Amino acid sequence: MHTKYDVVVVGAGPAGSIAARTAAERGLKTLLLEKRQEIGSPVRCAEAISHETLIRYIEPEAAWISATVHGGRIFSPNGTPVVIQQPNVGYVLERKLFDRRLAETAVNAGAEVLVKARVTGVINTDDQICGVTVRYHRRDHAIQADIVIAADGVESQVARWAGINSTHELRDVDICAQYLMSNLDPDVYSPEYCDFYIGRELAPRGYVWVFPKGPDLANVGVGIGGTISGRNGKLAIDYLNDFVRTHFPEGRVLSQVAGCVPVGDSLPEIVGNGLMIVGDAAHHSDPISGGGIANAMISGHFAAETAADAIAAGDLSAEFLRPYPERWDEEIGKNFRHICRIRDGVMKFSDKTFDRCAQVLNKLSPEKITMREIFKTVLLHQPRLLLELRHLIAPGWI
Amino acid sequence: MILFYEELCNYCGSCVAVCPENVINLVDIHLSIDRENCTDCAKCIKGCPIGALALERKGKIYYPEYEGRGLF
Ligand SMILES: Cc1cc2nc3c(=O)[nH]c(=O)nc-3n(C[C@H](O)[C@H](O)[C@H](O)COP(=O)(O)OP(=O)(O)OC[C@H]3O[C@@H](n4cnc5c(N)ncnc54)[C@H](O)[C@@H]3O)c2cc1C
Ligand code: SF4
Ligand code: SF4
Repeated sequence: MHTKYDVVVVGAGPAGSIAARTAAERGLKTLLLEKRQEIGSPVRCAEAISHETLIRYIEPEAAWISATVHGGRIFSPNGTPVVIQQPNVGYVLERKLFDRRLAETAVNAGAEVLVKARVTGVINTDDQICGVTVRYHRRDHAIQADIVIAADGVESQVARWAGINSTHELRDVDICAQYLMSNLDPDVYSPEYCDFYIGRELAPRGYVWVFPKGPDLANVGVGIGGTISGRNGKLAIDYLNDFVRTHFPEGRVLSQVAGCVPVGDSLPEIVGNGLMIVGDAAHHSDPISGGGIANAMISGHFAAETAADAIAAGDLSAEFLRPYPERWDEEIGKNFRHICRIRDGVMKFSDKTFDRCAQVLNKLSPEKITMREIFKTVLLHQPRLLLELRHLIAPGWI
Repeated sequence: MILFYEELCNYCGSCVAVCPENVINLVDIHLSIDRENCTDCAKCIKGCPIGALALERKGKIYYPEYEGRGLF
């Protein structure tokens, strides 16, 4: 470890590793700091990602892919499945190995990585972030950097230390609990599909997921709206236990995961003087699905490119770093607000409405059932939402 | 006062993410709450997926699983 770098990245999740890799590829002296002793562990994720977004950053490798997914099944509250066939649409990863592999690509590009290196503060000189303090090998170190990239995940502290309020409002997060399970009922579980269960009883303002990890192994989890958590004495784990009792009574729990996912708008401020915030730390996961791996990689990539331009130009001001938020907004962020509103509208549906939508869709021939068709059907039950939809059709979201 | 049941905790950081006062400190598998600066707003309790946090008020413990509507 040196005492001065061009870029210091805090956190070796997907956002941090891609940021560090991109910075190193641009010839910058880059340090990636991770507080855990093992990158990617413990896992806080259901591990699903689409093929399309994955290959933007890395070629799929068998070593860190648990299962290939060929579509999705959405179960309406009365249990009616709507099946979307999409051969080879995506994967369920082994995040522990995936995250480690991504960090390795950063190292291969020339970045230096340290584990068990916990960032404890930022160095702030005259309103300019110019480095971090790190606890490493029982000693405190001060490391100077032209740019600090905060990729420290949902519980991000770096942004807060720099004076940016990155606290998540309860209404803007889904609170999640998940089991890794085996001994799954083959009539309920399919290793081919990602399954989603919706309904007020099952998961208020969220959904239950069953993502395949193997022939008899799956991530079974639930996310519920943050404001709903605790209501009637029920927490995410209680909803999960209820689901498991009714759907996989014989299932065996191999491990337990907890966590929260941002499902609101992006953080309004994602750059400061000498500072950039990426991934979950910037509230960048998708407001409907809660999926954040792809968006984390995208924002890490965009941020590091802008960092390289800024360092080359010798201007490290927030103003000069603006191309990053602009590019993020242009490609992904600007749709978040509309998606949030559609989501809020859909979440007000009664269970009966969902059941009716499922019925209507199931009258179509299987190949006609697409995400677009599902959206259309759902929205026809709530025409007001079509106004929001207008904004999403143009950029090709659906 | 916020109570913390260590044996239940998954160290997931969800409570840290929603704490408006930023008084929850999570380092690896050690979680501590700076009770001096905690406002007892109970957001962290709602943020915890598995019930590892509870609120004690006037000698009564509000822990969603047991207290039903008591707190929320
Ligand atoms: C239950 C659950 C299920 C999910 N399922 C999916 C899914 O199926 N698909 C999907 O795409 N997304 C899913 N997500 C979301 C996804 O996990 C996140 O969006 C993604 O991990 C964000 O990546 P990141 O790099 O921003 O942050 P993280 O992956 O959280 O990485 C942050 C890293 O920073 C490190 N760090 C934090 N503070 C410090 C510090 N002070 N010093 C040094 N290092 C630090 C952490 O140890 C961590 O390694 C799920 C989330 C949860 C909770
Ligand atoms: S009660 Fe409020 S202030 Fe105290 S730790 Fe919990 S969320 Fe933070
Ligand atoms: S949210 Fe609950 S399980 Fe997660 S770290 Fe906080 S107390 Fe532990």
